[in-house]
Amino acid sequence: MALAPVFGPRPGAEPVVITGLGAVTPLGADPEALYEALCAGRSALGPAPYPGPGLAACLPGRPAASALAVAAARQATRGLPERRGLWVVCGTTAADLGGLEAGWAAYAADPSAPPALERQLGHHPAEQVRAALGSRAPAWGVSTACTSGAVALAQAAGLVQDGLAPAALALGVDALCALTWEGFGALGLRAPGPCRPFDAGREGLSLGEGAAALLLEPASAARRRGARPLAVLEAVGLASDARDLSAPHPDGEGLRRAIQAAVGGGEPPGWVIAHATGTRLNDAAEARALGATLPGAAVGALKGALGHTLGAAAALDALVAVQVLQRGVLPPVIGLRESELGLDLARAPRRIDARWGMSTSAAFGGGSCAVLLRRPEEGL
Amino acid sequence: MTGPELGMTLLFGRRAQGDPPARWLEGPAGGAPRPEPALDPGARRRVSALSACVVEGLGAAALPQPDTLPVVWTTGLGELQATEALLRSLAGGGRARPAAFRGSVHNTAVALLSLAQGLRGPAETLVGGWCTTTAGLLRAVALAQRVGQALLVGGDEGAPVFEAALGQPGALGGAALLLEAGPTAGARVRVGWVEALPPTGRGPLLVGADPWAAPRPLPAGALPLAARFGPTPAAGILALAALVAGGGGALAEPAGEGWLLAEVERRGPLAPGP
Repeated sequence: MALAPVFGPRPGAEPVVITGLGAVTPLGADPEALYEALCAGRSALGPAPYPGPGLAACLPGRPAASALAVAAARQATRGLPERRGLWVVCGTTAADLGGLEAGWAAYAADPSAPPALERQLGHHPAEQVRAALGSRAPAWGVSTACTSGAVALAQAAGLVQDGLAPAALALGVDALCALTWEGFGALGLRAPGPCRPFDAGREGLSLGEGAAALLLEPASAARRRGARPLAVLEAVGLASDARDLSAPHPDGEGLRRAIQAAVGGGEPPGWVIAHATGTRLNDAAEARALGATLPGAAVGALKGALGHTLGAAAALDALVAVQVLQRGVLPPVIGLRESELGLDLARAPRRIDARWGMSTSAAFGGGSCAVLLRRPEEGL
Repeated sequence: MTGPELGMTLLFGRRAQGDPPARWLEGPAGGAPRPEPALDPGARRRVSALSACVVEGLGAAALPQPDTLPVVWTTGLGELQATEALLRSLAGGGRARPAAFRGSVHNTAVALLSLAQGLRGPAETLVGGWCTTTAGLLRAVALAQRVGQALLVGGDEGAPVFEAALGQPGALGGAALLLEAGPTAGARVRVGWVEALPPTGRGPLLVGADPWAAPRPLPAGALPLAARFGPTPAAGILALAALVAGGGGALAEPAGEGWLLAEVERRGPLAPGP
């Protein structure tokens, strides 16, 4: 039995379109600035606020994840006149844990003074966004590790397609925190220098922080209010390796199945923004999956520029993929020198056929996700 | 409330006290703990109580279509004990252990479940705070409508920080329910968002609350979840299990300015149950 997408076209259902974007990253404080910086080949990797080897892509002022999510959400919903019915789904791995380190230190010394537990729960950024936008509708979090932003996108799109939400906001967010810094260090996955996705000399990942937001509506609702669809969310495929808690299947089995579920019997996209963390195992597994399912596709990747933003990463990848559909140029893979992986990697900004595009992600727990996007036709 | 109605079967439900789900609404908790099978002692040492609860709970269940079955794992707090242990260690100048970090992510339990059961389909982890169960049910219903079936698994555990923050221990608990589109016997479920709760109808109306928000007015006869199951977000999944195992009723959790409301109706005789 073929794996079905967790979101995709359904008989009688109208397309779900993306009509607003928001992004806060160390490379740009809005989607346009981010895309320009990516195409210019810039990287935000620099000194990290924690000890030990490795660089990070940091925002100034150690912002809380919720604040980043709210800022991105405000950008994405700028043109939306009615926000009371807006549902919010936000992917995150650590919520507002960054910034609570002092609270945890105090609690370790005095167990009667707990840190603000509610701020580190996974639904907190979503709830903060909902309240800030004045929505009365539900809000929740998704925490599937590094696929969180893409799974949030699928859930939000499903709410719109099923008629539960007149509009929904999908987000991904994470801010740097000691837990993830030390955790990836303990696993030996942090690169000593800048990460080099898909490079033969890759030595691990670099962490980053940021937020992305994508506004989803039925195509007819967007048309009625005069909003221009930026992309059609065509399908989202999701699959599990069922093999290891943190290491990917060496052949990218789960990602291959996720891509196949998203593409179905349709035309495969000619380009993809890959997860590409810069770790030896992940990049090799992903390359095998991409080679098997999207042969000849042009491949871009963002983590050499933005670091690995964990819960935000897959949402940022999807957001930039929407911009590629709009502009027709795939940003280059920063940090790439030479690769043994046999992919058609974008070494410079690449003009591509922008009718269809994809972003991919993979996570601890063995989950993989593929997001298929389509450029809206005239009049949609 | 409109929306699709799906069949729902309880695969397991367990809480610290060990009494069967069908009794969870009838009286005070009690009874002898049930045996803990499934995981060998070595594996059990490596996983959290929360993950063990889920993996062992579903240990003997025969799940349909493991290559494609969608799973929605719902947890309000995630691997709270592991996270607390790590954060305490880091706060005291210690280092993170690789296994401890791997085991602290929110989707650890569903990843272990996919390993144990060979589940290779979609696995989503939804963290909805105090509407975790009903939001997860809403998502599982959507997936079951799309592909025919979906597995909803929920659970939470307490930790010292939870007790310190809320003044009560958050007891371990979890349950799993299989949702099926089309005509099925047994319990039927419908879930949706409402701005105001309807009057209590057939069966009990169990109502959750956000302990950090102002109390909301409740319809006459509504039963506060915390009074029966404690303040843990696991109360929602335990209540849903109890409604399915028992005679039906409704579960409401605060969501936005309104409520996510699940209505469970029993058609046909009670199943023997887990």
